[in-house]
Amino acid sequence: MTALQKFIKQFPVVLSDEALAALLGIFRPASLEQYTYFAMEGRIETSFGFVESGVLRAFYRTTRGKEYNRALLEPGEFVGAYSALISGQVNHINIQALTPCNILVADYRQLTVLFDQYQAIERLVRHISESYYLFLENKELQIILHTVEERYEFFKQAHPTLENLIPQYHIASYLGITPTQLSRIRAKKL
Amino acid sequence: MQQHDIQSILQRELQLPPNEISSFIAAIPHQAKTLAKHDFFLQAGKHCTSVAFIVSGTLLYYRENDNADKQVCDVLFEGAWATYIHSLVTKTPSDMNIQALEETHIVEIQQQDLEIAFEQFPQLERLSRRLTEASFIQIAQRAADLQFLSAEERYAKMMKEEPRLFERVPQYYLASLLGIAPQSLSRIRKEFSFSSR
Repeated sequence: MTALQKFIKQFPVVLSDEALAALLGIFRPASLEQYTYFAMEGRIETSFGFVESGVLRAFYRTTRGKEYNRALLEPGEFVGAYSALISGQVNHINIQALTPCNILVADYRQLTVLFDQYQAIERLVRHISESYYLFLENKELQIILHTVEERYEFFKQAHPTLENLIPQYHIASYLGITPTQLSRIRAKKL
Repeated sequence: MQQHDIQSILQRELQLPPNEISSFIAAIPHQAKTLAKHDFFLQAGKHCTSVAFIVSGTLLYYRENDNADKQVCDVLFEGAWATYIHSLVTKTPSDMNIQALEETHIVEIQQQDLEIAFEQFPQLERLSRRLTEASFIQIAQRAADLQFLSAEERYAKMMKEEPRLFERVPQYYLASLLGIAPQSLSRIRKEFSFSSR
């Protein structure tokens, strides 16, 4: 079973062989060079993908040019400017490869066409959408309820290998702290 | 003037003829309820098992910390669907309270009935997906706003997007929703009332 099939299997939705084949059929393999963009602010986005290898970051850039990492994406996860895709509005988030990446890419419109043919696919996407909602809500709660040290621990549990793959300042930005604060936290742990 | 009854809303969302919408409503068990001011639709510690359509009124979403401080997360008015996705989806007790700020009329549908209805009416599955996606966009946008916009900018945005908040919700709840102290909110309101003259 491919990683994408495994990802799909974790949701409580039964797809017929035909529906599964139709769904897998909209993806095509693509590779992304380090530092190139999968999605860019200001554009109308049409595609999303499933990360097979590599690491990407999703970040916002303020009008003054400061960048804030919103998500760090690893193999086994979907990647895409989700808000822009579902709303059809101009995209506000940048998604950049931090390492060379292999991604299975699909057109969002083709996915929505499948909703009309296979209700189970629409249900699957609803479950995926719910899980993203829960992820964001949880992240917001962590910021309100937990100290920076605790959030760093949560981060390490969720992404055990990421620290060795990307620069520290990207992790600091994801946690909403300065790189200096992060090295202080790390030093204390040792 | 937009209609806020469930028939009109479903018609608008699903873009189906009125008679089909009527047959949905007839086939799905639902209960009209009236919440008095301060009644709860959901209380922390309990499970959320239903979704409710707000026919009229106001629902306040808040969490309470150990000091009994209320942290307001959302406010919904007539025309919106109320539920607490977290508790509903994970089937865990809620950490959220959903309380009526005034007399509120709702139509409640149990999640288990809804899931049966999805099998019968795929269009409702679509509505459910759309509502979930809208919640996702909202929560993503709010997190981004809190990080990138100043309190003044958040206030201006809120005034533009949901003017009902300023007519029907007490100041201290609005301040909490904006993530600022009540004093900051009155300062911002003064600045805005001067600049709009």
